[in-house]
Amino acid sequence: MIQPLPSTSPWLPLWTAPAQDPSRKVDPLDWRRLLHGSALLRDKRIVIVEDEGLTQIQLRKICLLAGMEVVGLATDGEQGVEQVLLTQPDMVLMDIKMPILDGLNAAERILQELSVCVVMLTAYDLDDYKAQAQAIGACGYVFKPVSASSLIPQLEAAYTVFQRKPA
Amino acid sequence: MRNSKNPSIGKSTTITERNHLQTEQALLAAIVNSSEDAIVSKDLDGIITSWNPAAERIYGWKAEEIVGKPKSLVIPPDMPNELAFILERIRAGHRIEHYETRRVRKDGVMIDVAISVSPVKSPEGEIIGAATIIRDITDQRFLEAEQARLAAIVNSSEDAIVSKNLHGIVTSWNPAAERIYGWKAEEIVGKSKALVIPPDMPNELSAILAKVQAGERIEHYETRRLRKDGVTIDVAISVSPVRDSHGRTIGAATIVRDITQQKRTERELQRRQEEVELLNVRLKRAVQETHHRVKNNLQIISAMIDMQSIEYIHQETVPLGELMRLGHHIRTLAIVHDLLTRSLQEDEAEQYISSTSIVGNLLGLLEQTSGGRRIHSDVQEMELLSKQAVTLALVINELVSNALKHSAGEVDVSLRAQGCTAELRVSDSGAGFSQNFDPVTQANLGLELVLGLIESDLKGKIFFENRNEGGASVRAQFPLPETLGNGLPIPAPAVKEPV
Repeated sequence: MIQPLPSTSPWLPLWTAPAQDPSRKVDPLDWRRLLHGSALLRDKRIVIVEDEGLTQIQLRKICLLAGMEVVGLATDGEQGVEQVLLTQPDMVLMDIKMPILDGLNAAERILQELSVCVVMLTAYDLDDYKAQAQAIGACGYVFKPVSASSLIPQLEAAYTVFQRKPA
Repeated sequence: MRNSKNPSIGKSTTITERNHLQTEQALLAAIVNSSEDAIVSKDLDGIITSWNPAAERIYGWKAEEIVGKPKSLVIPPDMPNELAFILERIRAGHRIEHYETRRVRKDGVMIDVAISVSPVKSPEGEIIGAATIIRDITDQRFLEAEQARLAAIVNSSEDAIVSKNLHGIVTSWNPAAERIYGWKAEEIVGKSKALVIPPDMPNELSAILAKVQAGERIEHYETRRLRKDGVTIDVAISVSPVRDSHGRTIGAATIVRDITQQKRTERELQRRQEEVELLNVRLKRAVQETHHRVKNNLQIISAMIDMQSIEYIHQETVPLGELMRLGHHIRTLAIVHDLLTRSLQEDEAEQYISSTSIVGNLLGLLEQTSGGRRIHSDVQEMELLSKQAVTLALVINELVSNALKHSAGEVDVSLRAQGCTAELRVSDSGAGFSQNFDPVTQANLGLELVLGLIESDLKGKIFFENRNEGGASVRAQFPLPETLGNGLPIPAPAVKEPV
C-alpha cells in the first residue's frame, strides 16, 4: 500500500490512495480480478529500473499483466535516467538501492526534467527514504516483496496521485 | 663576712660589703624579676617563699596569692609523691637538672615544664630550702609532637613527598619517593631534582620552580618522571611553595603520585571501549547485511511464486512440477544463505563466496533428486560476489534441472576462469537443441529466468550449443568481480587452480 504520511504533511493529498468503497467486499487472494488488467494503467508506458534480474523480470510481467507497455528496462540509476529521458514514459518504477546512481538521485534528476509518475521501490522501510522520496516529488513508495495483486493497485493509486498533481 | 680584729677596717669593710651585697641583691632581684622562666623558692616543708613575675605568668597565681602556701598547689593530683621526692633530694644536698614533668595552672590547665632545683643554704651552710627554675615547654612539646606526627605522615605516605630548594636541589625524600623513583634518600638528597625528569622535558623543572618562586601552587599536574633504572613512569604532582618564618619562599614541597598503573588501566579501558564500539559496529553491519540478504531471499521467493502465478493465471492451477521447481530454488537459496552467513561470521567485511563451495553444495542437493544420475563437476576455485553467488546458484539449479529433465545419462558442470571472465558450462548427453531453437521466443519461465539473470545480474552472455559428441551445452560467460564496474570495493579476484 502507499504509505500514508503524517497528517501535518503538506504533501498528504498527493500521497493518499484513492478512496475505496468501504461496503465493497474484496478477496485479496482473488486472482480473477487480475485477468483483465487495469483500466487505469492500460496502455500506459512504463520504464522499470531495478538491478535485481529476477525482480526485474517479475516487475515486467506484472506491468504486462496490467496491460501496460514496458518501454524500457534499466539495471542502475544512470541507465534509468537515460531510458526515461529517451522514451518519455507515463510511469517510472524505480528501485532505490542500486549501483552507480541510486534510485532517489536518479528520480530527482528525472523529475527535474520531466513530469512523470515516479514510484519508488525498496526493501527498506526507512522514514528517511520516504521523506526524501516525498521531497523530490515521487507519487508512491512501494515495499518489496511485491506481487501482482499488491503492486497493480499501488501503481493505480500512485498514478491517481500523479493525475491530481497540479501541472 | 664580718672581720673582728680590725674594727675600723671591719666597719669600712662591712659598709662596703653591705653596699656590695645590696648591689648584688638588686642585681639578682632584677634578674629574677625579668627572667622568662619562673623562679620560685620554697622551704623544706614545701611552703612557697618567693614567686617571680614569670611564675605568675606561667602558673596564673599572683605572688601574694601563693607565697606561704604549699607548692603542692601546682603539682598535678596524679603525681602525689613528686614534691616529697624533690625535697628529699634537696635535703640530701643534690641538685635536680632539667627534669621534665607536668604542673597544673591556677585555672586547672596542665602544662609541660622543665625544672631545675637547687638547694638554698643558710650562711651557716645549712640547707633551708630549694630554688626552682621552671620553663614552660608546653608549646615546644606541642611543636615536637606535631613535627613527629607530620614526620610519621610523610614517612608512611603512599605518595612520594619531596622537598627541594629554589635551585632544584633535593632537601628531603620520603620512603615512598624511594619506592617510586628507586633512589634512596641518601643517594639523592643534595642532588638536583633534574635526575628524575625525563630528558625530553628539559624545561619542566625550571618552569615548576618559576611558578613556585612566584608563590603559585601547582595542583594535580599529570606528567612523566624517570626512575633510577631508566623506566619512565606516569605521575600526578602537586607542588607548594615552602616559606621561612618571614614568609619568604625558600623551596618547594612536592607530592608525587605514581599513576602509571592507573594510566595503563585507563588506556586498557579506552582500548576495550574502542573494541566494544568496533564490535558493535561490526555486529550492526552484520545484522544489516543479514537483514538485507533475508529480505532479498524473500523477495526472490515471492517473485518466483508471483511469476508462476502470472504464468498459469489463465489455467487457474499451477502444475505440481512447477511447485517442486520452486522448492528446489528455495533450497538453493538456503544453501547460498548458509554459505554467506558462514563467510560473514569469519569476516564481516567479506562480500565473497567460494565458487567450489557454492557449486559443490548445490550439486550435492541436485543429486539427491536426480534419481541416481551423476552430475560431474569441474569447478575452479574463485571468489564470487554474494549477489553473483545467488544468481549463479539459481542459474545452475535451473540449467541442471533442465538437463536432467530433457536428457538421460550424466550431466557435466564446469566453471572455469579465463582472465577476468568466468565461464559456466552445463552439458548433457541428450538429443541436443533442435536446429530452429530460439531461446528468446521458445523460452519457458525457467529459461526466461536464466536469460534475465545472466544478462541483468551477471552482466554476461549465454550461448546454446550442440556438442560434437552429442548432447546440448549451455555456456554462460560473465565478468569476475574486478571487471563488474558496479562501484563496490573489490580486490583482485583470487583465481586458484582446482584442488
